[in-house]
Amino acid sequence: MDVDFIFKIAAIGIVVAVLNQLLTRSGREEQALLTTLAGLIVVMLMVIKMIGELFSQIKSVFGL
Amino acid sequence: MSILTVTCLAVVCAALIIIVKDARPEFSILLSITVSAALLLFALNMVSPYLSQIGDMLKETGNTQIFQTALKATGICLLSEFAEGTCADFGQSALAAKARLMGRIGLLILALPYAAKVIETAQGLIQ
Repeated sequence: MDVDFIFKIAAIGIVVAVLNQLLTRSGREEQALLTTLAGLIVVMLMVIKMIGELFSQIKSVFGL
Repeated sequence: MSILTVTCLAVVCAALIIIVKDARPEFSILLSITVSAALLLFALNMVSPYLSQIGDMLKETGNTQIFQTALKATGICLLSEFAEGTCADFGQSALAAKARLMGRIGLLILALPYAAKVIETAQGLIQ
């Protein structure tokens, strides 16, 4: 069971939040936005991979 | 990975989601989707050997077709429930209602042949 997968996503979320604060405080709002978007895209890809795995598992177990 | 660890995992992740929520709200939703998907995956891994076992047992009795349809119905219920829960988490109650509707339509389509069979037998009894 991929428990570390979940904590990796939480870690990315927190790191992106800290980076965002850091960049906005130092006056670079655009880079803060880009960092948040980049983190979001990375996490979205991981989530999609996870859901794809779940759906293929459901398809195989239930014969859909 | 017993049931105990999974329940503890669910509670820990709920706390984690709250921590991430006030920092970055969009990550908390993605995190909740991942946790529910992981738990569903774990449940499937736990139940799949028993399902195939039941399938083999029914194979001798011959009526495996009904069991296959029941499995398909369970799969459709699981999928639509997962989609509905995720949409409700996003706060999109309209999308959740549509997901539930799709699930029900899928089940209806699945049950049609059996309804036809019941009606045929009923007509046979009447005449």
